[in-house]
Amino acid sequence: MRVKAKVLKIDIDKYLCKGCYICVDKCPTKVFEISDVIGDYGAFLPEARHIERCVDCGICELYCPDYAITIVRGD
Amino acid sequence: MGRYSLMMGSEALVRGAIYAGVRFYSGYPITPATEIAEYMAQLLPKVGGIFVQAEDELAAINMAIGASVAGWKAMVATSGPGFSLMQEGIGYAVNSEIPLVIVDVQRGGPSTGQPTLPSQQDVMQARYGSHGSYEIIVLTPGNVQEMFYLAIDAVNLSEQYRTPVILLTEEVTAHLWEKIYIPDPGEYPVLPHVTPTPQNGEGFLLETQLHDERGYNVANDPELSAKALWRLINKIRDNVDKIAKIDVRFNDDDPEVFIASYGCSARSALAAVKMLRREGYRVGYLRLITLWPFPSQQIRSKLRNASTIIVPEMNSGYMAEVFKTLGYNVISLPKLGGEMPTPEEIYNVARGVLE
Amino acid sequence: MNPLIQKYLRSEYAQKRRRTIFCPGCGNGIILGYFIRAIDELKREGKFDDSKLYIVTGIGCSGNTPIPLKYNIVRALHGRALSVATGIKLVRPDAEVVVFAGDGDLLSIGGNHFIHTIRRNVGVKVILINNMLYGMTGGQVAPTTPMNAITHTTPYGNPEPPLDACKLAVSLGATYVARWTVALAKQCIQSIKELLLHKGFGLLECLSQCPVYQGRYIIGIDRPSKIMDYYLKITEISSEPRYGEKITIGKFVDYEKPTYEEVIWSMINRIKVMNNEG
Repeated sequence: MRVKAKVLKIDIDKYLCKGCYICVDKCPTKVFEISDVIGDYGAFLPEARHIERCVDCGICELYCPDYAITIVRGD
Repeated sequence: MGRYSLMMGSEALVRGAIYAGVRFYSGYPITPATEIAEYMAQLLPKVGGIFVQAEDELAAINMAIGASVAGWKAMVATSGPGFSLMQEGIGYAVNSEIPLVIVDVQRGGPSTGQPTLPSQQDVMQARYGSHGSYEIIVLTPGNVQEMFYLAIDAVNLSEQYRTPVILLTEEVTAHLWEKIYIPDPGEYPVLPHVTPTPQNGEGFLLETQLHDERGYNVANDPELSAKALWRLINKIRDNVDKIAKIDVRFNDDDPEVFIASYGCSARSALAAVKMLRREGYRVGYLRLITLWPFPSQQIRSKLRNASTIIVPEMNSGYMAEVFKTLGYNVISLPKLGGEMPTPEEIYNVARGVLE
Repeated sequence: MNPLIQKYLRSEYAQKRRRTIFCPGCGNGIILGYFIRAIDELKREGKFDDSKLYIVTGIGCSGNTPIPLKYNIVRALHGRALSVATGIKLVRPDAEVVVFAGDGDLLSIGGNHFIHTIRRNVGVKVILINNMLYGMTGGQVAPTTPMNAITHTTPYGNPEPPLDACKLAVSLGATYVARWTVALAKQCIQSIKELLLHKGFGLLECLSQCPVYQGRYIIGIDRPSKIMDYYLKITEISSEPRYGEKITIGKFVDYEKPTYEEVIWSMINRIKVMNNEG
């Protein structure tokens, strides 16, 4: 049986993120929190602080309007 | 060696366009340009072309633009009211450099005007009809043979300079029957079609705002926008001598008085000049074949000794104003109502001037 | 940048020299992501050839959606995207033509072309991004704005009832009509895949969000995720299109009939043969 790879980390691109926080609001297990790092666009960047809660639903990646989110999987 | 045939101006235009490689026509019925659409509907499918009767002139010109972008030479034909509707499409083709031929068979205007009578009232609209600053090429055939040849010239100019070209004619020329010569394929030069091409492994980007050479929008940058627009304008302005054509006759003895006209009015002008010459008056004849860009340089150099120009035309005196800017003493003979100026009318005025 | 999306963008965007023009939380960016993912899935299944893809777009925020893509993009005038797409499809019937347009572009100034393109069944695929107003010009009323809504040109309430684009398309005889919201990712991607494989005219209406104007004026919330929740509240699945207090979503129609380019090309081939024999 092929096991799905685990989520190692979730990268947020600081050039692209415009701070709409759809990822923060829509994550079903509240992995994201708004940090106090300011991105290139001028918005506070979200951060995947509670990565251990991630269930790999993929909603953050699907919903990001600026393609700033990359889910990095591995073993 | 080609063949001779008797046909209507509209049919000559259609046959010329097909000779030049036009294979897409979208139109809308409008008097007096409906025959062009009907001939196209009959003749285009026989050579593998596509005819579409669109839901309105706006759809017609946009479909032709789509066809031109996708790889086929395209043409649209209309008259005054439809020409007003097509102006945004003409601006689109100018800005995005899309080769296209637009035929305007002028009728009495403005608004619904005189649907079945000729005029030359759209000469300024052909030049300045769309919004914005731009240059455009406008050709005016004077007889049915020229309807054939200028259709090919219009297609060639549009491909060479990547611009829309307007073929401005009148109802009377479109409905006139004359014997013309049709060359064999290959006898008259035809240029190939140009389309936007993908670059560097990615598709082309055709933008309607002012754009740079890659297609990216530069509308918010004043310097780049000015550069982009001046390039489009100078594309035509720097090549006026290669684009513009005029027909000058009876000027061997450098007359001081010329009768200048274009389109169907030029036929009466030529008859008047011949009448005057037979009576011994020194008068020359000038016919504009290219209306815009206005061939100022060529006119000045061919009309060496001219001081007075008489301009008969079937509108309120538009081209007479343009001749005035060249510094000549201009006598405008505007004629409204839908009848061509007669040789006698022009003869009477000219004799008054020459005496 | 997300590497899957980066593969499909033009160099200026893929190399991060330019950002998209969308506001934070705009639905257009999400829909572009769905489009790219749909094409990627179809290509991996071997069912789609994207070398002959033409994208025709209109004017406005929704018309700017596909600009970052690396395919052939033809921008048309306001409302005329369907006419340009018809011209392209007739001349290149083997090419795939996708039209991105907004609700004001396609249904207001482009309404006449909408009717006739569907009537002819031209094989173009339309992705209608419906944010219920004119976004780029600052939030004015559009044919799809709900009645009594406040917008910049209806400060006392919208006096006009809205138009249901899907119902109009179904009644004109469109062969594929579906409506989803931007929150329903899997359904949107599936619909785009079906649209690209469908033969004939196809319309996918995607209820999208404009947090800056639609959110603040019509709905009353400007947090983008809350607008997505609002859409989940006012929509319900049905097989009949309705657009009023509740908006129905789902796939309404999916069948096939002869397309315009098929009819025209078979006629041309028949006449060419007759002409050569005569």
